[in-house]
Amino acid sequence: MRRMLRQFFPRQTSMISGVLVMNTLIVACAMAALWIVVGEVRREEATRAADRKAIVVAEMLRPDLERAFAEKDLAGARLAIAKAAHAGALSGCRVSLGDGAVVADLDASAVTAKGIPDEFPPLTAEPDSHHSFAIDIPGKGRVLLAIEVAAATARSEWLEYGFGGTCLGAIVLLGVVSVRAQKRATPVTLVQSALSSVQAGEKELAALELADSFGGIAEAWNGMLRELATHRARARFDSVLTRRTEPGERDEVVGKMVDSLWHGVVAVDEEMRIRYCNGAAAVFLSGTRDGLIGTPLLDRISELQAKEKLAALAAAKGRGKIVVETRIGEGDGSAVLRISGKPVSGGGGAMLLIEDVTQQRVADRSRNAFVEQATHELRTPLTNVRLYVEALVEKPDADVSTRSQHLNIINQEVRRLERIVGDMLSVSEIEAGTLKLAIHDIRLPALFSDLEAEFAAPARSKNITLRFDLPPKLPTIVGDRDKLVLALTNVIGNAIKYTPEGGTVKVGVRADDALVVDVADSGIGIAADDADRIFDRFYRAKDPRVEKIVGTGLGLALAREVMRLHGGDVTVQSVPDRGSTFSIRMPLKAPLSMAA
Amino acid sequence: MCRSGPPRIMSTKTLLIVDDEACITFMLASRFRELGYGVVTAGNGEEAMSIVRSMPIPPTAVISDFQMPRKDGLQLARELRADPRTELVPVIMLTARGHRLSPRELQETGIQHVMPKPFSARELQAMIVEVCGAAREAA
Repeated sequence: MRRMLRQFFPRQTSMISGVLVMNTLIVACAMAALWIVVGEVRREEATRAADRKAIVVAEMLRPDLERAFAEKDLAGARLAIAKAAHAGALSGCRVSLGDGAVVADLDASAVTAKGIPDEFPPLTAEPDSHHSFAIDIPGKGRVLLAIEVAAATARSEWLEYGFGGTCLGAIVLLGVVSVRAQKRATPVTLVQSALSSVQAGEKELAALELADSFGGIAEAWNGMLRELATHRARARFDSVLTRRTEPGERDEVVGKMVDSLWHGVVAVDEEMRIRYCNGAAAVFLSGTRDGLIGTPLLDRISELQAKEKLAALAAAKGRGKIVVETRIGEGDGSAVLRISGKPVSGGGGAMLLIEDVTQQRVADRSRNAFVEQATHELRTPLTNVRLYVEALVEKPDADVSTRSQHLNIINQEVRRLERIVGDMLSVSEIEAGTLKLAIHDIRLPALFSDLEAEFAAPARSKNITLRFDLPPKLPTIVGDRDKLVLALTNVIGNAIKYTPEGGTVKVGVRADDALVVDVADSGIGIAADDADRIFDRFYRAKDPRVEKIVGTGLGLALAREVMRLHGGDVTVQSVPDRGSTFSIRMPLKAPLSMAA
Repeated sequence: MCRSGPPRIMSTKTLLIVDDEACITFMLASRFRELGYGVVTAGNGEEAMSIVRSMPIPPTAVISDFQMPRKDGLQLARELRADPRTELVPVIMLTARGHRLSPRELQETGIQHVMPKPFSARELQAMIVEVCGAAREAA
């Protein structure tokens, strides 16, 4: 509804044009009403005048007609009518009988009666208007006189038509003018009012649009608005673009992005003075961002070699990339930083990326130590094998006891090699996550007597009392014998390794619901800080006494890993300088042979 | 000490063999004794030093393992060099280390001969002969 109204009375329609149209309409209506009223009054007056005339004419004719009809003087009657019509300027005058026959008429051709009868037929209809009269003819009956008073009324009607026509013409003219005015002036005034609302602060272009029905100007105006909208959008887009590329803001955006990097980013000028550094770099160089800017980078680097290399970068002037590793800080808080630098092409100065590689270096060191240790451990039995084989080859005639002694040593060393290789394989399997158990029956008595025999010599050489407390009866259990031996060997071996000469190592074995092997030593013990970490791969306690003892930092990690694969665990309780007790626990399962 | 067969060398030459591996010291000791050397053995650097101090005449040469508990071969060589009585005693280092000894380590300890493990007894024998000859000339 509102839409329809809007279509007919667009909101932009100017008040002036509205008033004009309304005035025109009101005047036209008033004139039309006046015309109708005047016309009506005049018509009434004319009718009344005609009536009066007709009565006068009829009264004038009556005696003449009575006499003429009484005397059957048809010509006299017709003459009287003609005289009266002439005198009264009648347009028509007729005398007719009751049966409709016309006795006399102004127009002679309309007469139908041949003559005047003796007796008149009675009138079928009473005179129905003011212009027809019944005239009594004595002794003969009544005749009907009809009079038409035409000329005067016709004249007044012409006046009326003229007046009415003028009114109508005026209305039509006004309509045309108003329509034309609306057609021409409305878009212009609308545009004017639109412009004034723009001036008043209207920004919404859609509100300023004109209905297309307003024609060419409206279309042009709307086209202009659309153009403006496009320009405005483009300008907004452009301004966003411009804003993005404004140097200050771009720096801020890039700065935020670079700040969220965990690597340090530093820009230096040709003299290696810091021009920019992100948050991470500030932390690495132990300063604040604002404090670092403008200061020489080399002041922050303490190692001479790294300094020289970085200085070379400044001198390189656009050529080459350098990578420097340097240690910063002291003691536990120290870190290894890798600084990669590349000169900025054509700009002078250089960009530097700083990475904290402390953890990588620690892992690398552990790995290298492991490789070194594994190499050492492989070379020692290999040396023995080679020496004893060489002796056997060189002396084929040696006595039997010497030969068997040499062969025993070779055998023992080969088994040692086998064990080391097994350990190394297990390590790589643990690393790769593919360590699997080969489940068999394990005869515990035999296993422990083998272990006792194996560790007797190393214990004796350190004058350590090694005691195995075995219950009288040990069951046969199910598990991976090699892996269980690996765990036990590592733990017992450690106990002997870390127990000073003259100490004791006790191996207590219980097997009720689970196999529990407690290896208690009187060794150096483990600090609480280290106790949590000794099972980590490559971890070795920070005790200087430990550092003097050869080890890979893998033994306990391996032991725990294989026991956990068995559903058990290796745990430790320790008092520094008093000794440690490692507990190897493995749940018992029904032996395969019994289950089968 | 006199045995028949193998070539004899003057028994004034004494070797100190130091290794924590008993098999090695046993084999090397028996081999060089057969060759006519006087041989003393030790299980680690500390033991070796106390033996050297107790010897009336320092050994002609020391054959030492590199990696040993308590006192390693490098420390032993350093201490021998620091003692004027033993500073000229050549040290033959048996090493199982993956990498070679650094020039700095060699210079600091005066070690001139390195025998990487695993080695052949013949190679070591040849080296000892050379070293002992050089030591005698130097003396």
